[in-house]
Amino acid sequence: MARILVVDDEIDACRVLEEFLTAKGYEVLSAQDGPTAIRKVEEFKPHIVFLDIIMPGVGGIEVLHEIKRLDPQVAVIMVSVVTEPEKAKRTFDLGAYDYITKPVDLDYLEKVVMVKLLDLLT
Amino acid sequence: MAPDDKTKARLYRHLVESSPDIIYTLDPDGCFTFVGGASEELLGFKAEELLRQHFTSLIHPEDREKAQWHFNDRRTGKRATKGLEIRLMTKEGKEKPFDIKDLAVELNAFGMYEEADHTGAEGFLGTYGVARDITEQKRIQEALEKTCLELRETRDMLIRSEKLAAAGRLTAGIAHQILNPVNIISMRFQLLKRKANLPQDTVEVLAVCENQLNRITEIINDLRHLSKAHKMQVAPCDVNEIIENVIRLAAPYLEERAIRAQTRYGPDLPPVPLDKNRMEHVFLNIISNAADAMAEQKTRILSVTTKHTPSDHHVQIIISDTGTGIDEADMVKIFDPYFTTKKTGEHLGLGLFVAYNIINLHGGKIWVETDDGGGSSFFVELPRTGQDVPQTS
Repeated sequence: MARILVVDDEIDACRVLEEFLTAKGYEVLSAQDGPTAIRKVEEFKPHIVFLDIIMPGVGGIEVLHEIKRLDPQVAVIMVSVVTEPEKAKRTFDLGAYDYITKPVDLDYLEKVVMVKLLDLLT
Repeated sequence: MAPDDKTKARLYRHLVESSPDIIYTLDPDGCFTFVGGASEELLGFKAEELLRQHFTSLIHPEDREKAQWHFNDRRTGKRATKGLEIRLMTKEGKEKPFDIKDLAVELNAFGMYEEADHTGAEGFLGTYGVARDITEQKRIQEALEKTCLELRETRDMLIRSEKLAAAGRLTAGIAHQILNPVNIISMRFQLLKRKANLPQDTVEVLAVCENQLNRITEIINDLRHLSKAHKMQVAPCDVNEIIENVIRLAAPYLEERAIRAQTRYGPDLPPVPLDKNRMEHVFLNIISNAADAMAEQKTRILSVTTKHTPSDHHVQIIISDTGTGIDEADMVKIFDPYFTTKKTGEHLGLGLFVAYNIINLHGGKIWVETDDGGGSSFFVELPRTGQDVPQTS
């Protein structure tokens, strides 16, 4: 079963995505801060991480950096309120798989997950 | 030995002829009785050509009334004219306006009167005066005023830029704070909508909620554009390429609204230092407004023209529509924040305000004119050199 980690400091945002993705048949965990997210990546070994950029303490960019260091194969999909292309480009340079802006379009999110998982299968 | 009268007269003539000023006398009617000094050099007329001519024939038409008033004042009273600035016309008939171009003079003139008779009355004999060439002085003054104006504009631009930066930080913060809860509501809403067999009244309520959510998101996007207006990433750009790109981006939107787009690209436009993304946003905004203005019209044509300005210092972009035009009262407010003629709730009214600020930060200008045919034309003028563009970030 595909494993997905949702990282957002807003617990309600985590819950919606957990609910949505679990209903789609994925195994989902969430984390509300950077250090917890990094620990869960090590333990849970997700295929996909949805990662908020602006979080108190350790921010999403640092978490992305650390995740890619721990496991370059993990597809990290950034989720942010920030719309500047240059910010998105920076995360792609660091190895992000995609960049989604809030409010999140669940149809698009579902497609990204499927495309990535198809990638893994082929 | 003291010089005799003849020698004195010769000396005075030399003095007058070598003067760098125009020295003259007028009879009581205002006709020249003597012209000397630098008149030929400055005006191109020989003295004998001016004799018996009325003085007003030398004066710029716009200054004639003023000069005549001063002349009459001396005829009826005893006042002298001091430091009067007027424009003179040269022999070639060229105007020489003092405020910009060639010849300007400062006039000092005095009335000549007969000695008082036994009744105390004095007869008016005419006028004598000296006209000094102050063209160079005017040019320097003009240049100084221009520099001062440019400095003031630059200062204002920096203040605006700083204000925008402060407003930008505030709005970016607000947008972020609002978007997170909006994101949660929106995702919950999307989940709810996916549920099958919802009662019809619930579906209707959800549609209202969806519209309102979209509205909040649009307001936030408007605020975000405002917050980013001060951040500039300037590079030399091809204006025609930007317009082409914008028209391509807007094509589906225009097609949906049955609007025909016409473009006329000026050839050989110089590269203009621009922030491409911000400028695309400006043009898309103007086009979207134009599309709204044409919504109820039978003929829907959007024309975009690019060209050099006659001075060649700017590139001009004109975006015209066949819409309803803009009321004169709205013309002055159109670039104000939160000004909108659209239905309440349809738009926040920041679009043209943001456009105005972005163009301003590029050192350019934007204005709107109502066309004779009823539509409107937005004019954008961008300087081809970007020395004045503040590189804030």
